[in-house]
Amino acid sequence: MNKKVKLFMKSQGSVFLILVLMCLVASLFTDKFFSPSNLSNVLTQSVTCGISALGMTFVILTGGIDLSVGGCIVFTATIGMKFLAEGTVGVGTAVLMMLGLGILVGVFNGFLITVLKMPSFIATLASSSVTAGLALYISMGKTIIGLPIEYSVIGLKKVMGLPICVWMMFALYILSYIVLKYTGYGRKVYATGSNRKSAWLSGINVRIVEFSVYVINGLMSALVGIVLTSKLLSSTSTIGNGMEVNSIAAVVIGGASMTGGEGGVAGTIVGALILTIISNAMNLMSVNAYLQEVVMGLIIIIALLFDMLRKGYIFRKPDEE
Amino acid sequence: MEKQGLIMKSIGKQFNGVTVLEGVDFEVRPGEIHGLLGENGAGKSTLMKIVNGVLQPTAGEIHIDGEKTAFDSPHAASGAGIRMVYQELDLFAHLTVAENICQGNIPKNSLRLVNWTRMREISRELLATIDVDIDVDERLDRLSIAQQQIVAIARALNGNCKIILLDEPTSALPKKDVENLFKIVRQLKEKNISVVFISHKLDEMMEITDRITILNNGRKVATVDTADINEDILAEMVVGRTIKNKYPKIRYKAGETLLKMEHVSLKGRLHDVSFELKKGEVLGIVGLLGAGKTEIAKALFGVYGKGNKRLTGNIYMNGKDARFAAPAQAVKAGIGYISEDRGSEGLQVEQAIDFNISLAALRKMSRLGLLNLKRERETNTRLIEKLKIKCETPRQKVSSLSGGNQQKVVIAKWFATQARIVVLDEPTRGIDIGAKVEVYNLINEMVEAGIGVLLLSSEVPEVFGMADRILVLKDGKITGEMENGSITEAELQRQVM
Repeated sequence: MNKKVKLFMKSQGSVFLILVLMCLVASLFTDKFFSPSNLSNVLTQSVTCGISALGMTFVILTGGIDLSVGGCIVFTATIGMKFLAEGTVGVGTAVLMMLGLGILVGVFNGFLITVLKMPSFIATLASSSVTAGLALYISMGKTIIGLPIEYSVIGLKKVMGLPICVWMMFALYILSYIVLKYTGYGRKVYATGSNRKSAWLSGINVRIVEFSVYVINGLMSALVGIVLTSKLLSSTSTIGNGMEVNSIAAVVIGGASMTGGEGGVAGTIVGALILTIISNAMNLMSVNAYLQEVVMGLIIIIALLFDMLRKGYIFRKPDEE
Repeated sequence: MEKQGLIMKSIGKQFNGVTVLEGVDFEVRPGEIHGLLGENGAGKSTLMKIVNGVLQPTAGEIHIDGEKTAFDSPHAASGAGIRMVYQELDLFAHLTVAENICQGNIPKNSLRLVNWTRMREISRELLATIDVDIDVDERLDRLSIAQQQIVAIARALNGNCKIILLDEPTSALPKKDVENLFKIVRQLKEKNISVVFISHKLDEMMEITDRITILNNGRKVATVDTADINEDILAEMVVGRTIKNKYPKIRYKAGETLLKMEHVSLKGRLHDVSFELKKGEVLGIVGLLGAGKTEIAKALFGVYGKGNKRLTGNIYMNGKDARFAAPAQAVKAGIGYISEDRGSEGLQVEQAIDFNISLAALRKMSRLGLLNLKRERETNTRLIEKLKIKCETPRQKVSSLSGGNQQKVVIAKWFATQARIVVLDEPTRGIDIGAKVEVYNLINEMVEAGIGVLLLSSEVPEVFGMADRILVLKDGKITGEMENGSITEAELQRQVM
């Protein structure tokens, strides 16, 4: 293999290859895949996974994990939609309120993890339970309907051929790319995950960095809640189910390391698109919904194997373990 | 057939084209105590890793009791009776003494379950063979370092042990425990177990060993009978004549006082430490491992925080209070800290060289939060050239660099912040002689630029060779202060011990 190809395979860009491969496979098995309307569909479907994976990227880059995404989504959605459905607040206020609640959940997580120094895995698992439980208590498990039609603009209204929420996702990705690559803060996020102690001894306030990523992820979760409820024009108690798993999968498929310090938003969006395309293609092929879950899991395993191969984690000599 | 012990013939080892060992013959006879002596980077640990099967030689042969062998793993070496006790003891802190001793060879009962009674018995027997009494049910982390070391030795003796390799076993021990360790080593000898004793300390070598092999720069200088030589000859052999000026010290005129430590104590570690550091001088603090050097560095760098009750006393920088709440404040105030633990504290080894160099200077390199990439690139390029960091590109991962070049990256980081005080803790640990001289040259450059340099080291020749003033640190107390030149190296060595 020539050197440039090798370098590309070793870089994060190689996930892109999987994406292209997926698209080709999908178009072989279905005739509608490459139609403009389906491609627009894929992008629209990818928004929820894409935005939550974006927040998760920040968390995972610092070496943490956030399992409260699903809880945070249903928590913010339920409260926001309840007020909106009752007509006590307008659309704008409801959206702001939800964003505020998302930040609040992030602050709560950040407090548990950086001030009380709890492990992120268990702290966010607990706050997931708290938020999801509160949401259920507030809605009593019932679906909230009767939302004003204007609210659906965010999720459904198209501008230049694509829904507003897709443009919003693009904008967030570009912004995050700039933040991670061209700001001191971005460097600090990587440094904290790569070697926390050395980052601290280089004068970085690692606790503030860690705190901030949970707030960012809380905010992103709230956005996902807004997009989901706006698309459905309703809010159910299962609205955030499994979102944390999908977003973690997207981040890791995108080439990030679970121990932190490695990865990026370019990989994450590809990861999110891969997950969306798999599910889209299976829908087009009318694969049984239960079987879809199985295939999804298997494909995540394959993508991970590919990633480990690329990083040289498999087939390495024993003294490198 | 008579036992011949271990014979290694013309062993060579290369890492990525760099030769670290060349043509080394090494022989350990049954029941002898064989010293292995050499400076950092001389190749001692590489040779031991080859004996122990961690590394494979690129040239040469290994024979045990007359049979040619090759170890592809520590497990294989252990099976052949070669056991290593590492300097950083590789024990399990949360398990009991018995579990630690039997680790890797746990006795099972007829149901294939752990036989706890037998495990305790074996452990007691092994400890009895070296005549020590430690409760085998005690958790390891409740023992002293010296006791933990004994546990590690007992574990090495489990099963068929012919040769035991002790890697700098005395570096972390108080004098009393060193004598106890020597007693154990002599007992092993009586049981016809060979001991390879690795150390920097010449007096210990003279006291305990039968023969000594000296390495320098990856080559064997000689193997000598301990009875035939004295410490002075040994010292000459270790240093060698390869480098004329090992300590290229340049003196500058010291300026005003930059830093003042007054009556600083850290509970159990430092007692009433006071000193001043001036602009343009190198203040050397010399002491054994565990004397409290790193604690001084960390106290200065804000690692213990401001409200910490364990830390008392005052620190002033330019007359202002300098008891920092966190390293971030120390960095902002213009202090740079080169940690003794390069890999886990000094560097982001999985990140690129340029990432590491700019890490502490991000604020200086950005405007309105956005990094000035052009300026960053210029600074990085300039520093990589100035410090002669050998690399293909600044985007290269630090983990791919040699120890000496990694250390230069850490130093570059504090050049980038334009630090006014630089604290170097064991700055030449684990780097070769050539790179050492380069680090010393960089110390000269710092001093020339008016930086106050605090050099903390356990290597007496280094402090003697590079410092303008010297403090001797012993068990957390400063026991001597002198201008360099008012004392001989041997005298300083004696004060440190």
